[in-house]
This record gives sequence, C-alpha cells and structure tokens, in this order.
Amino acid sequence: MKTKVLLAAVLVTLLQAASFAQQKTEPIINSLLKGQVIEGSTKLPLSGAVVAIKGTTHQVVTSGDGVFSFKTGQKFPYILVISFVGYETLEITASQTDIVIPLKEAVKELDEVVVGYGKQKKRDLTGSVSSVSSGLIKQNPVSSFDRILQGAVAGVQVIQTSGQPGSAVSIRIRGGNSITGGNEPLYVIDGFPVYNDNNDANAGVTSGPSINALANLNPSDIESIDILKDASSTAIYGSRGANGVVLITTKKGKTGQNIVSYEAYYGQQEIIKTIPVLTSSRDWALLKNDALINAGKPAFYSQAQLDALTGGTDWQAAAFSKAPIQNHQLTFSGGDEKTRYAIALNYFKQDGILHNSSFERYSARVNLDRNISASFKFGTSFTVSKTKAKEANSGIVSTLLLLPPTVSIRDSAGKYTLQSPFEVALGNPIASLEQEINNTNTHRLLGNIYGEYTLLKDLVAKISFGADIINNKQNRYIPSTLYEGYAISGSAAVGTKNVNTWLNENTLSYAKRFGEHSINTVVGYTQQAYKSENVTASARGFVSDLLTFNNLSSGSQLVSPSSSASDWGLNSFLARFNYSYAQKYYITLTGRADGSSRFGDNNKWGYFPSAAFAWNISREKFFANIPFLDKNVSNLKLRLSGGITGNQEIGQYQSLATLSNSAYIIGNQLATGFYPNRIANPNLGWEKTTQYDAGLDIGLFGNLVSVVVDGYYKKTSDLLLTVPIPYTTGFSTALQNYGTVENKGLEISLTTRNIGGKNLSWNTSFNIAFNRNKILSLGDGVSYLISDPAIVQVGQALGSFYGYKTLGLIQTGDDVIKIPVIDAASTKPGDRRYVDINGDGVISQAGDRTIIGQAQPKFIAGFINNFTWQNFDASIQLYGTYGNQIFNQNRQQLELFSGQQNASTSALERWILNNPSNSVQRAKEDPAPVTTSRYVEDASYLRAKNVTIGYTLPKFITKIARIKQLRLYLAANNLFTITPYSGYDPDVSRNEQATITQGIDYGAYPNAKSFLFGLNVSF
Amino acid sequence: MKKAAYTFLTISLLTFASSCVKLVEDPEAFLTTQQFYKTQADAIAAVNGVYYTLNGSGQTLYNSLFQIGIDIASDEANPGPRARNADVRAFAVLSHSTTNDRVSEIWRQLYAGIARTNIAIDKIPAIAMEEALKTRLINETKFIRALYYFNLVRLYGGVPLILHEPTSLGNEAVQVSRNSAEEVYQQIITDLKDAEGLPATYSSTDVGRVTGGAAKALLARVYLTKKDWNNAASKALEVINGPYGYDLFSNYADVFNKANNNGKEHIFSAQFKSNSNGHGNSLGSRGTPTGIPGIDGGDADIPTTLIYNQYRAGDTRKAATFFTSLVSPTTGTAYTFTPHYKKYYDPSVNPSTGESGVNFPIIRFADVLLEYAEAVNEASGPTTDAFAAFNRVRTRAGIPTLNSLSQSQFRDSIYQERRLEFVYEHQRWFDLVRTGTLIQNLHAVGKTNAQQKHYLYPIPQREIDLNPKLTQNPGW
Repeated sequence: MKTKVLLAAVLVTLLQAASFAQQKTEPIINSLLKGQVIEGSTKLPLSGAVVAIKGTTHQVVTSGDGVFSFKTGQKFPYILVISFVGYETLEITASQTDIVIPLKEAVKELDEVVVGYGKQKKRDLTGSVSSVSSGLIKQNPVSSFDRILQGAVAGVQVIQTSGQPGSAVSIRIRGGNSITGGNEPLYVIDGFPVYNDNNDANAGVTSGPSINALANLNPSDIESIDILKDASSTAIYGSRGANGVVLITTKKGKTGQNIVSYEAYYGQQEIIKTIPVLTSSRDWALLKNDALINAGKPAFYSQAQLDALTGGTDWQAAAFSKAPIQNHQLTFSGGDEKTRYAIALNYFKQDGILHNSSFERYSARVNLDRNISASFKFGTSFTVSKTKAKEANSGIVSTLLLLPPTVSIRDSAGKYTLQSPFEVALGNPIASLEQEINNTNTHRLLGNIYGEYTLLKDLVAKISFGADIINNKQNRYIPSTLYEGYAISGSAAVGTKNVNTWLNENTLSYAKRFGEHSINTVVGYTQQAYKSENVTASARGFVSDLLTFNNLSSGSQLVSPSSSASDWGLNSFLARFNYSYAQKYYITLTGRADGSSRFGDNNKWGYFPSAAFAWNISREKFFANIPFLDKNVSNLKLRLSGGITGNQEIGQYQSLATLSNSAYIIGNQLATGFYPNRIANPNLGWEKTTQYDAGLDIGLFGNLVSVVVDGYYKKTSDLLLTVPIPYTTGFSTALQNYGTVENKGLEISLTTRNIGGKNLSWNTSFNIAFNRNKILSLGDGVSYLISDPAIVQVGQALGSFYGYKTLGLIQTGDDVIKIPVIDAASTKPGDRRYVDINGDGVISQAGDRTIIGQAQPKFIAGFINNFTWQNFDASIQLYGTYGNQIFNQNRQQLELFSGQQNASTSALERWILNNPSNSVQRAKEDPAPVTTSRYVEDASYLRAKNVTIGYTLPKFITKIARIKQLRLYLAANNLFTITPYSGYDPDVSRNEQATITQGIDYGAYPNAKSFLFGLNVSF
Repeated sequence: MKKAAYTFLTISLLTFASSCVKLVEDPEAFLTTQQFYKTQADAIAAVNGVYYTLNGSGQTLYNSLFQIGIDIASDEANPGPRARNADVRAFAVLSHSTTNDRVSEIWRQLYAGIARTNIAIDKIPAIAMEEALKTRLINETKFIRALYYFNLVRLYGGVPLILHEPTSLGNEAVQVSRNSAEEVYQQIITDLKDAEGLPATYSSTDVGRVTGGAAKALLARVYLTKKDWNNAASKALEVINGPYGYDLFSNYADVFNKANNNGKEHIFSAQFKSNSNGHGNSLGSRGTPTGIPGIDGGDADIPTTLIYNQYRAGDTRKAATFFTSLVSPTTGTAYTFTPHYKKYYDPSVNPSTGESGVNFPIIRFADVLLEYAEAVNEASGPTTDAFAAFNRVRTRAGIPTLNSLSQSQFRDSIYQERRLEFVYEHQRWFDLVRTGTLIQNLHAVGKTNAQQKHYLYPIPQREIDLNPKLTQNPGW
C-alpha cells in the first residue's frame, strides 16, 4: 500500500522531469529579443510570467526583475504570447528588441477565491485556502456536493459512511477537534452559513442511515468550492469556524451571449464485492451440529437430513442487483451590462444496489443580478428542491449476512418466508426490501436577496436577507406480512419536521490603493436564527395493509404521539483588515464577536481574533540576483497565521436544568412524571481552537509546477465534553468545558502542467495530508472514556479501538487451568486465547484490554490527471488513505459460529479436534462477542474514484447543427479499489458523523461502482 | 439616486436597531427546574417521576436489572443462552471486577432515583397546596428513598448519604465520602417512620402508591436485616394485624396473575401494564424460552437445576414458578424445554412476551409472615405464633404444616421456605448474605469463585476514579 503511493509519486516526478527537459533546444539564431514584463497599473516588474513565441514551442520565463530574452530562429516581426497567473493573457507583435510589456490584471475567476465576506486574489492570500477544481465538480456523479471533496484538496477527509443513495457523509478538515461536539465543517452557500445537521431532514420515524440534508442542493449548480482551513481565514466565522469552512458559489450568468445548455448522464451501478459467507446448506448444518455437540447437546440434523441437504440460499446475491443512476440539467444563462441571469433545472435519480432503495431530486435555481445604476445593484440566488429517499432499513444488510443458507426466500406456496426458524430472530430481508415503506421526503428552499450600494468611491455597503426552509415528511409502514409487522398486524408511522433559518447580514467594505500601499477592509453585523418543529405519530394493528401509513386512526393500537420544538440564535460583529505593500508584504487581521443562545448565562459572547502575515519573497529585488532561483522559481511566498476559532455544535438548551417526562402506572393508568435530567451549568461556553499555520506557495518554471505546503498546529481547549460525574449526584454526565485535544499536520499540494500544447496537454495535481491527533486531557480524575469498541484516552488519538489482543487458540493438551481465560468454566480447546496484559492469570476487562487499533489514517492522498489530445479529453482521479483501521463488526458476528445465525466462510477452516486451526475458533453454541484485535483490520485503500474519457465534436460539425459545443463522455466511478480490508468497502462508518465511535463497520449499506455515459451540449 | 442611498442607509440602521435575535434560551418543548415545582399538579408529577425509577423502560431496577445484577450471582439463577453480555456472564460466575457494568449500573440507578426523591422532598414543602396531600406525597417519596438506600447499604455497605439535590458541578459539591452503614440505616428508619403515617389504602385511581402498611413491612425487613429481632417482630405484627386487610391468595399462582395486580397479598409492587408504550415487565420475556413460534421469548434467565429440584411433591409453587412446556399459539405444536421461569409470563401478550402486565412484587404478605416467624424464633424461640404465621405460607403452598421444631431447625425451615416461596423475586441473594450462607450455597451450584469479599459489592471503580474520597470495600 505504502509502496504503491510512493511509486505513484516517483512516477509523476520522473515524467515531469522528462517533459521539462524538452524545453532546452537551442535553434539557429535569426533574431535577439530582450524585454521586460511589468504590472499594468503599478508598473512594477513581474517575475515568473511566461513569454512564448506564437506558433512555436519556444518559451521563456521572466526573471526576478521581469526581464526575459529570446535567441530564436524566428525573424522579426513575430507574435509573443505572454501569460501569467492572475493576469489577462496578452498577444503582442514584437518587431524589434527591448520592448516593455504591461500586463493587465485578470478581472475574474480562476485566480480569485471566495473568502468569508469577500473575494481575494490567490496571490494576495495570507491564509490557507484550497479550491476544488471546476473539472472535479463537473466530473463526479454524486447525490450531494460534499462527496466531491473526497481527494480533491489536501487536508479534507471525506468518509462516505453508507452506500444508501442520498446518505450522509462525514467530513473532517485537518482532523477532529471535538470529542462529543460536532466536527463537521461550516458550509457557506452563496453567503448563507449552514451547519449540516442531517437531523434537520429527519423527522425521526424511518430506519436506516441519515439522509444528507445537503443532498437537496444540486451539485451541478456549483461554480466553485473553496475550503478555508487555517485560523486566519476561518476566524471571520468565529464560533463556527473551528472545523473549517466550505464556501460554495453557485453558477451566475455572465455578461455576453445567452447560453442554453443541457447536461445529462446515465449509468449502471453494481456492488463492488460481496462478503464470503456460507451459502451451502450442508456446510451450515454441519456447523450447527458442531456447535450443539460441543455444548454436549444432541445434533440438530440427523445424518439422513444432512445427506438430503442440497444447495442453499445466497441472500446477498438475491438482494443486490445492478441499478441505474441518471442526471439531467438544463441551464439558461447569460446577461448584458446591467443584468446577469442563470436559471437551472435539475433531475437526479440514483437507484440503490439494494432492491427498492433510491434517492431522487428535482431542483430549480434562479440566480439574478441587476445593476440599477452605476452605484446601486441588487440580486438574488434562490434554489428550491424536492427530494425523495427510499431507504433500506438499518437491519437489512446485517440480516442478509446472518440468515442461514438453509432458510429459503419463499416457501413452497411461493410466499415469502417470514423469519429464520433459528434462535437469532431475523426477518426476511428480501421481503422487507420489497414490502416495507421507509421514505424521507424533503423540500428545501435556500435563498438570499442582496442590495449593494457604493456610498463613496471605494466604500460599499451591502445588506442581505436570506432564508433556509426545510420541510421534511417521513413515512414508514411495516406490513403484517413481514416478521417485524406480523405480531402487531402492521405498524405505521409518520413524522414531519419544519426547520426555518433566517439570516440578515450587513457589511461595509472599503478598498483603496495609495501608491504601493493597498488596504481592503470589511466590517459587518449579522444575525441568524433557527427554529425547528417536529411531530410524529404512529399506530399498530391494521385490518388491511392497503392503507399503509395513510390512515393511522384505523389502527387498533395508537402509539402516543410526540412533538417538540427548538431554536437558537446568533448575533455577530465581524471585521477584517487587509494591508499589503508592493505586493510583497501582506497583513490580515480578522475578528468576530459571536453571541450565541446555546451557552450559559455567564458565557454568551465569544471573541475570535486572528492575524496573518505573508511575504512574497520572489518579488524582492535580491531574489532576482540569486542564481538558479531567479530563473526557475517564478513564485515564492511565505504565509504565517495564527488565531482562535470556536465550535458551538452542542445542540440547544444544554446549559439549562431541563426536565424530562415519563409515565408510571398508577391506578392502572399512565401518570406523567417530571424530573430534572441535568444539573444547570451557567458557565457553559465555547470550545476554543487555537491554530497556527505556516505555509509556502512555490511556483517553478513559470508556474508550470506549483507547490503549496502547509504545516499546522491546532489545540482545542475547553472542549464541550460530556464529562462523567459521580453517579451519587444522580446524574451520569454533565456537559462542561473540560479537556484538550491537539491536531498537527502537514499538507502538500503539487500541481503541474506536464505537457502544454494545443493538441496535447497533460496536467497533474497531487495532494497529500498527514494529520496527527492526540487527546491531551479529559478533565479531573478522568483519563479515559470507554464506548466499546472505542476508547477516548489521554495521550492517544481519537478513534482508538480498545479490547483484548488475540493470541491464537487453546489447543488440545494445553493446560487450561494455567491459561488465562475470561470464563474458565466454559473454555475448552478451540476457544480463543487472549494476551494476559497485567499477568494476573485471568483475562479481565479491568486489566487486559488495551488499544488494538486506530480509525484515523496516517495520511490521505488524492492524485488527479487530466489529458487532452485534439478533441479527446481524459481524466483519472485516484484517492487513497493509509494506516486507518476498521473494527469489522460484521466479521465479529459472522465468526460467532453459534449455529444460530449464518457464518463467514472461515467457518470451513474452524478448529475441530481432528484438524485444529490456530486462528479460527471452534463452533460454540452461545458465545459472547468479544472485542478483540482479530476484528481490527487494515482499511488502507487506493481507489480509482473516477476515470473519464470524453470527445468534443469538431466545430465544423457542430456549427452545422447550430450547436455551440457538444461533448460526449464515458466515465467509470470506483473502477477499482486496492485494499486489504475484508469487508464490503473500506469507505464506511456505521456511526456516521460520530467521532468517538468512528471506523466501525456493521450492517452498513455497501458502496457501489458505476459506469456512465454522458453528454454536455450548449447552444 | 440620493434617495436610494438614504433608503439604503435607513434600512441598514433599522435592521441594526431592530435586532430580533435573542440570546436567552427559553425552551418551548421542555420545562426547566425554575419553571417547575410551583403547583399541586407539579408536586404530583414530581412524585410520579420518582416512582418511574422503580421500573422505567430499559433495564431498570425492578424491571430486570436486579435479576441480572443480583440474582444471577446467587445459587438460584444462571444467564440463559441469549444473555451474551460478557459483564453478565462474568457476574454469574463471580469473576466480575470493580469495573463490571452491572455493579455500576445498579449503583447509578439507585442514586439517580435517590436524586429524584431528594429534589421532591426539597421542593414540595414550599409549594402552596393541600396540606394533607403535601404530607402524603413527601412521605411516599421518603419510602422510595428508604427502599433505595436499603438496597444500597445491603449491596455496597456504608455509602455516601445524600439527602439534597446537587446545586453545582464543583468538586466540593459532587465529591462526597462514605457514611457508615449504621448512619445509612438510621436515615432509612427515620424516613420509614415518617412513611408509616401514609394511608392504609387508596382509591382505585391512586392504587399502586405507597401505603402505611408498605412502610411498616419494609421497616420490619430493615430491622430483620439489622438482626433487631424485637422491632422486626413487632413491625411485622403491626402489618399482620393492622387495618390493611392483607391476606394470602388461596392459590399461589394467583399472586402472578395480572388480573390480581394490587390484590390482598400485594403490599408494594412495581406497577406494569401491557401494551402501554413500554410499561411491560421484561422478566416476562427474559424468563421465556426462544424458538417457539408465536412466543418471542428472551431466554436470558434460567433457574439452576438445584432450585428446580428443591420442591417436594405436591408443592403447588413449583408449577406456578417454572414451566417446561408451552404450546405455540400459531402452530398449535407443543414444545418442551429445560425449566424456565413462569412467574411473569403473560400469555395474553404473545408474541411480545416483554409486554407482560404482571406486577413485580417488592413486598408481599407471605414475606411479612415469614419475617415475623423468623424474628420471633430468633427473639424468643419457636413459639406457636411463629409456627402459625409460618404454616399459613406452607398450607397455601399445599404442603404439610410443621410444628415442634427446635429453634435452629425452625430457622433452617424458614430459610428453606423463603427460598422456595420467593424464586425470581430478588430475595435469595439478600437472604444468603443476611444469613451468612452465601459462599457454601454458591459453591454448591458450582460457582466456586465465591469468596468472603462477595458479601459486599465493590464500589464501582468509575466512582472511585471520579471521587477520590471514596474507599473500596475489603478484598476488592
């Protein structure tokens, strides 16, 4: 695994070296040209600009003082093409030597990144900001945009926790800061801050993985994604900045032509692999007999019955099938000098590889900007969407694995078998997939209206109002024909959740240049408030299954309804001050004051300052005099930043002593009781993350190679930790500001233009990130918190697994008395041995559990290659993680060998008297599942996330059909995955966004691979 | 254009001034302690919240936790095939350590219950309400507090005696040292003496609440445990002769029929009700075997062979306590199995055996009779009165009466009678400890890890880690 990644890195380096070598040709000299490239407005020399002679491969790079020269076979006059990142590419005719070429700054886009409350040129950045390339946004066929981030930029870890279409992902930017608080980044969508709480789209009556609330936003609408990572860039988001910020900008209309475009893809998905379990009835029957005989009981199957057993049910084969995925996007965009518009309609549907599961979205977007006058403009960005997720319930996958092959899908009459006849109660998952209703329907409206007024020259005021409205309705019906509904004659439930968030932001910005000094500031006041209301109702005992969830009152047993409401509010003041001198020295000061309702009365307001400094060394005069560097290094910038950001993701009302209610039976009736569920903590306050970042931006060979390196150190203190308190208080835990966690790491991004030409081009980008996480303290008297199979322990990283270390099996002839075991009475040869860590002769929970694995990777890396050759284009995106482990709970269950549920094929190699294994234990009728190192597996992986080959029809053909552009492509997603992990897929986490119990695989819906055909056409 | 500018400025100023986000949390779906404990209805609800700790949903004190966390470590019970939890298994063979989660769960739930009694006893006096009702509610609560401390002191020895709600999270407030066992007992007796004044009976809408008879019966048990034989005998006699109307059901099986819940023999029971949003008795599931279509048994508790074989022929308690066969309600097939517990099996709720509506008897009249016999025998030898009380229990069971035994023979007979009478009622472990016979009896069923230290539970290691003032029990 390690070697593969290294190999890939070496390969890239070699290829790049090879391509640079080509530039060293010395032709016959017909002319000599000297010149200087300068900045158009400041007249300062520009180093690192690429000057090429049009129609040839000959190009040079300007040195530190902007100077270049050509010795060429070309005769005057010839055309020069001058390009430089951040400037408009210029073509100029050279007719004699000693020319001075002023470059105009590019007004737009590519080199502009969106930062909080504004935009900045990449070269002016002082903080650590990564942008996702637009190619990646286009290429990934995903239900929600957050999945695009996987492998796209350094330092962002994305775990697709489940393969259920539309399900949630877990994102960590530069590691997890918080132990029990939220660790997901803040999303800012066209200026609207959204913390992605999937519960906002979960009324609470369905079963299965969380449906991603962000999946209501159409990924095809997105123009750019910028990720703010260090304190300097996130401090402007104050109490919500500590987990990083993802800025999403949707597509706006551009002045010029009106464009109509249609983009579509259609494809097939299939399961990546299945888990080998027993599918032969006879194998399983032998296991069952063995388990009973080992317990001193008679065999279940007689020899005659065994001999009669043939075949067996392969439950996985019956449940998984190929499933289509499709997307259609129609966009109208354009504009004139005064008005710019973009209107988009989208339909997306992903069927799941488990029968009858799917995710479907309809969405529409209107983005509009209008200049009323030279000084006043207003605009809006609005999207509405409707999604429908049909979920496989959370028990389906584990049931597929655990149902014995002797159980048939249908009985002799053709009806679905109700349940496993054996001791472990399992319903028929095929019947559940077909008959159970388990749907999440969500409408979401997210919109913003702004007005912008230029008060004075350079002074702009902006006001915006926004709303985010989520209406969720969930429906569930378990018919009486299923095991789960059989005894209760059907069970129906409905739930709704309405979430309204409103936002008002008022900012004043001032930008001015005085000679070599440049100032850019913004101050603002914002307010945001959230309100959520939730209702659920359910009933059981239906005469008929036909009405499903639509007539609860016809149920004979009504279950008590529930309702709840919660709200929060945030008031904030923010300011940022940017100063730069001669584009050499940059200073950024940022601060935000947040007042949040979520905290204790004594701690409502938090203050989050940051400062950053950047030094563009390559612009220094002395740099031009350093031999070698002056010619080859086109950009060298040092960035330093530090600051404090916060986290407020603890839910509402946590500082108050609230009451819970529940009923006791008095007089044979329910009598409602109230009791406190918490001790008030008026001091509850912010989780503070102090972060330092040092970065280098390096451009080589006229920015053919650019490298960004960042090192960071983050220390999160006053953790919002549910701290254990003595039970004698009457409570188990109290949410307090206790404990400290640190994250430190290194991120490297390397972007190269290996071959650049009209007919053939090859670009590469590679990113790798190393993060090390460590818990420094958990408060007084607490050195660990165990949440089996995980432990949070001081001195260790979050995501540690905790259990017994295996030590082979007990063999015949071993002196069982002398071997340390958990339960001497029931232990026999063929049972597992464990390491007696404290050496006391017994295996006990107190003394012999230890850290047996770690869910966090040592590094994560992404590697993207883009090629074009004439009208063909191709890209390949690889993603990998190294050193992360998974607690494979599926396998733990499949290796119980109880004869009461199905087993892994490893059962065929189990310990038996005549053929004793030393790794696979004996069959045992009632084993206790043990958290042991045997089920901790290396889950490093390298995956071809996306491979695309496209062809753009030549202009002369499309012209005839009055088509502006037509591109066809074929794509494969998750084409191959190289991993030692034995489960379905290493990209999994049963507990979704949870931090303590991350990296556990049990019953998760497996990810799929897919093959697509797509077309993009514009008129 | 200037107009636009002014409009713009005005809007800015307005939004700034009219900031409508408030930072004070005022939850709409929850009550806070400041809003509560103000009216008579609040007082009643606060006490309902106290009762809930007896048997709330999940594995709670009188809803299977005492079975898993106490009885399973006695000579009466073993974990069934479905009780796979490693902590439970360890507990059953007495290989458990100070970090065993049942050891800490019992401690946790008892103190959580005590905290609710403390807040009710602290807050109710200040509420303006009907005085008689106020006194009654406080005394009901004191009974529950006494019951919980009685369990704590018997399981863990002297424990921190906490009588008021915690006011802060500071170490000085949450770290409390152990009191002596005697101090804990004195508080139990004080609380129960107050509770003796409770009504003898309730109207049908309040049935299930603590009565004065329950307080006296518990007091008798407390005195008996303290070997204060005279007080035990006189309190038991007050229950037997008091205005409570207690009597034995003529048929032992009727004690465990939900139609007879809160009947004449039931002095104080944890109340259950079928199909009422999680108010079923989960022992109904735990005691029932699996694999019978239409009866979804939990198969988590099984009796030891030794206890099953203790009954003499004709003892009607055996068939009411255990079953070895059931007929599937869906297929009509009869299934036989090794002995399982029948007491809380409620056929009317099949297949959802955990919805059993059979109350759990915390104190019943047979117990008072046997306690009376024991206390009198210890104080004054085998008297006629003592034999009379004792023989009521035997006669009801359908076995011959015993008379003319020596004091020590009578003592052993009473112990044996208790053993047969109270199977699956969380009495056996306490009796073994109280009578000093734990180790030999556990060894007799193969639980050979039993040793002197097992007379007390360990203080949960978690509590010692979080509260350095706590000391561990000897041997742990």
